[in-house]
Amino acid sequence: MFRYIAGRCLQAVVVLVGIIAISFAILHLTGDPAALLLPESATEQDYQEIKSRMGFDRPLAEQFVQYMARAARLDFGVSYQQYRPAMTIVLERLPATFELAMVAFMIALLIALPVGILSATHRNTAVDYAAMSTALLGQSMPNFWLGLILILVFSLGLDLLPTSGRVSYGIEQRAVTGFYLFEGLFRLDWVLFADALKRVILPAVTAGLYSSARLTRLVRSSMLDVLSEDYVRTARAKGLSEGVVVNVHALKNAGIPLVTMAGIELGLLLGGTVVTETVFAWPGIGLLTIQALQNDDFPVIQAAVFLLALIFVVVNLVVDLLYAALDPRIRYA
Amino acid sequence: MHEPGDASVIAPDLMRDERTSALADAWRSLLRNKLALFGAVILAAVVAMAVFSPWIAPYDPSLQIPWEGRRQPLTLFDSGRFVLLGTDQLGRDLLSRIVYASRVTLVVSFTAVAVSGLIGLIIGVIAGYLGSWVDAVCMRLVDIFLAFPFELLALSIVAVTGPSLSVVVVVIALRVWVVYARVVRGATLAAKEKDFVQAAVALGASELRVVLVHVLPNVVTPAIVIATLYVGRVILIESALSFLGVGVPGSTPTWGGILGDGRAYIDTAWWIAFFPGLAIMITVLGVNLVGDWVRDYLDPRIQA
Amino acid sequence: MRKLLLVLAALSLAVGGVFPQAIAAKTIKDTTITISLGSELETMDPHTSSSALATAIHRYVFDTLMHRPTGANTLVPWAAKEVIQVDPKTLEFRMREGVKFTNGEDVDAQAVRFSLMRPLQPNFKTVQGPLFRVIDRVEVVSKWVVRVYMKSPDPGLLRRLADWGQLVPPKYYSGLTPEDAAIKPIGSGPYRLARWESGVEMVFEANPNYWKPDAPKVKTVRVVPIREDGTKVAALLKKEVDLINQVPAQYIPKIESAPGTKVVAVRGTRVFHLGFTHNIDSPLKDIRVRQAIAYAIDRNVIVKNVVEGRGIVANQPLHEWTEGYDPKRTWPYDYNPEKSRQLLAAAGYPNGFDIDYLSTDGRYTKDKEVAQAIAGFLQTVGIRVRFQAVAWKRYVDIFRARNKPGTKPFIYYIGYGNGTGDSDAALSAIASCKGAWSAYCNPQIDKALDEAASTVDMKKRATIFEDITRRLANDVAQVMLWQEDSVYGMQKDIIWNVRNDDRVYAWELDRR
Repeated sequence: MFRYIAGRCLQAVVVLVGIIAISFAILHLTGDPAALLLPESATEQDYQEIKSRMGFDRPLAEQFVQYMARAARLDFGVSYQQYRPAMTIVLERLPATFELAMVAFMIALLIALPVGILSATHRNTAVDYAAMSTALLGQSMPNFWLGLILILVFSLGLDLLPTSGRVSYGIEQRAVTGFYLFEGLFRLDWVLFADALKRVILPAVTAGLYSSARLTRLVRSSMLDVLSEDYVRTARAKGLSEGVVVNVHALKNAGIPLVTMAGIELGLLLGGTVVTETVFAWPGIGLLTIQALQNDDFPVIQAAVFLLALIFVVVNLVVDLLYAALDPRIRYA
Repeated sequence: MHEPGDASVIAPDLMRDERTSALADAWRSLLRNKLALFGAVILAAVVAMAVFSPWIAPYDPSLQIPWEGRRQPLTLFDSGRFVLLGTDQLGRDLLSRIVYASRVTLVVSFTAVAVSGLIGLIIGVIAGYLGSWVDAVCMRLVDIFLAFPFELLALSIVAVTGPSLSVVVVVIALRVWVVYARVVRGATLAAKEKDFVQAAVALGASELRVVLVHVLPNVVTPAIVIATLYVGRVILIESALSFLGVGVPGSTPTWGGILGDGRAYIDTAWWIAFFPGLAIMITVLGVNLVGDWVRDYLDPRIQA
Repeated sequence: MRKLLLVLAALSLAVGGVFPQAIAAKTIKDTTITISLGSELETMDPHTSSSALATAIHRYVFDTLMHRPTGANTLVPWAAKEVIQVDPKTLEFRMREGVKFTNGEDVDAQAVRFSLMRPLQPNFKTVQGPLFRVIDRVEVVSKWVVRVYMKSPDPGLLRRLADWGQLVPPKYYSGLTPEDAAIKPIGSGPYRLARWESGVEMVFEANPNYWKPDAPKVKTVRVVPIREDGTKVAALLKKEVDLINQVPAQYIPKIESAPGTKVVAVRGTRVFHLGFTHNIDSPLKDIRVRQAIAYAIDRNVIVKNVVEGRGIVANQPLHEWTEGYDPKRTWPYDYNPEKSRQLLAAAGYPNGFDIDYLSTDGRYTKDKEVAQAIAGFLQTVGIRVRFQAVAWKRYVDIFRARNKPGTKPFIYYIGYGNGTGDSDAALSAIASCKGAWSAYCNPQIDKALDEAASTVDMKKRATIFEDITRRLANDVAQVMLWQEDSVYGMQKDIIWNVRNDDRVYAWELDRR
């Protein structure tokens, strides 16, 4: 067991180092931050001066070695635009992305579990067909398109929900941390909670669309697998009520693959909100990185890529270890 | 060791029937599955739309009439021009643009699926067959590409190279090949353990021959299943890239591109963004329905 | 030059006379005005960046020595109460005695020297070096008098000191790390930064001791970053925001018809043109081809239909309040596709030709649409363009490589925003051999620009600029296209005399 855990951790480190190296290589290939920092009237002489002042004229190999050495200490340098540590800038945006992904994940679970179970227990009925068609449609829809339609209907049309931003003005001062929604919940500050919730709903539905659809289909198929197993049939034969059979026996056993899939889904959500953040101007890591890309702000891009990859790798690691702990059938080779 | 997300694949026995009867069997199965048939009809219609664009599109998709811009669907102009789905910001006929856009969308998607399939197949077979450190290196490479935030990878690459059709294909392939690689590696491992493969090795067949003759046929089926399941995903990815402004450039539109341009007009001319999104959804739905059927028909245990 | 100084001196007297030294009890309304200027500010360190947004917002917290009043093309002393041109290479600033930074340090000669020299420190990471390179040294004459010595005469320096050279307290900034300097600004301006949450808002609170008696007018100004046009407009309509800039044309009717909001537009400073890579061998080298391109484009359709009236047709690269703007100027190439085809045939291209065509995507108002519309016009006369609309970053890369051997010729769509109003800088940038946005190299034009730079007589300088733009038009160095309006959306109770240089200064804003 210990060897298995150590091995998986080592693999995770290798993956992260690879990601750091690849992102450096891509960005420094032809990017030219100096040109983008200059005012419109700058001349060639100004350009050269900026290059040497910012250290862009040093050999790439030298820049790379320095960069890897600093990255090992999680120091990604100072933003070319903001003149502050890149990691600090990215971490400031983490709460926004985290809350968005978590709410999206919860929405996905809240839809997938009941609908999937219902579909499985009412196999080949109208309920099942309706649920599965909806899930299929959900998997076929571009989520940014859904986001635009949600804005069109709920914000511009019905005027029910705001189009962007995380909290209303004045409300944010109630919060100590950047986690408005969670802080509101834990401190029972309903004003903060309600306001943050109102603003996170549309983006979260958009971000969680694909996950909801996929998890719904997965819950259904896992349940179907389990429901046909011997012990479920035995439980039924023993005369246990259908509710007990489904909720206790079947769900428990379908749970293990579901935990895995849900974990993977969460990892994907945390790193994949870029499009949603663009549609809703959600001030998370994705939006920050897109702006940084437009300005060739390499340190910020690299810090963001690293952080998102780190989250993904850690979530997957946890899922794997959890899976290993839950399922006694796994051998640790 | 069991890796979560890995597909447990059992090599199908391709020699069970003669090929013609296998096709006939598939056809009968398709006809029985109403949903799949529906999907196939959609897919056929979209392909036909792409092939016969010039005959289907009522107008030249690049004809700009700036003073007839952003007119709503079902507008009849004094000139006699009738626009079923309205016009875009430069007065181009939206329907004609969507019809023509199916071409680029399909070409990019199918090429990307094929390219990633080729890469994934090669790396998957190499990793699975050679095992040991080669396998470890390949799988870490897979992990790296899985963990790299995809949109940011795509945006960075396009920022460096500039957008073009081939770059978009490559960027998508960078994301999708890992799926093939994992599944194909699993299938290769399973095939390697088969008696007849072991026997061939024992009889002194060259490694290349073993791979080509005995392993490859066993991994083709899962690769085909992944391909059909992923066409829909790839169309969605392509449209997301276009939406983020790093899609296929140039005068030929893509659905995602029209949608992305139309976004600025979502509350003044909703149709510009709405209809291309609808086209994407219907097409992906068709592809997915067919994909599900192909999976169920060939090997229901494969999961992407 | 002497004339300019007289104007300055007169104005400085007027300014000094109107505003007494003693700080009168000012009335600051206890209200909040929320504005959105698009994307987020990158840093509050005034001496590092040069973006247009920073130029405006830094002034909330920091004073500059000079100032350009709304609608004028003259400068007035600002943090300095008086400026004297001692000789062509020396400027003397007399500071307002007793004015302090919000941390208690004096806004004195020492502070001026520190602030002007800070961007010039060799190890200081900044892009402002070029702005101050002309400064040789800064001398403290007495506590409140300071002299700036230039290496060579530069009439543009004073103008730049109305946007940059922000005054900072020397003691505080000497001990500050770059990270803290970026987020913990202290100045002597009308506001101080009270709160800044990245991606969410910046909150500025009024400086009650500000030297100018009628500023600031309201207690709190919030700046929120909203990049999306639709979102920005929605926020205005829902009264979440009081003022937005760069309103896209398609939203103007909506804002005008809403009960609580209004649209205010003024002539802007950005002028768009179509440029050619004159240095590369191609059909574009033939003036008849360039004329043909100019004749092929219906600029009225672009202004009226594509940008929906959000500007005017531009006949010259300079805008209204710059030196050398000629109000009577016409454009020699009115829309005439027939003539365009004839010229192409005469140049040996009866069937047109193929050429690359570059445009930005998302940097300017409807840039992709305008550029595409132009492509359509060129297509009609037979010029087949390979159109590429790219992100600004990519555009810069391609444009910078224009002089590399083997580069393919191209046409490009670009806009030059001249917010400082410096004609010399604008024309050098887009039409000189060394200009960053110029693919045109004509030694005669360069010579004329040099001549203008060293001409002291304002009238004579204006004539030189007028002459340059006329020659550029005759040579079809560029095809001038259109000039953008600055369009603001506001709540009806907001009072602001809208500036025509795209700078939104918080201390000018008031609420009825």
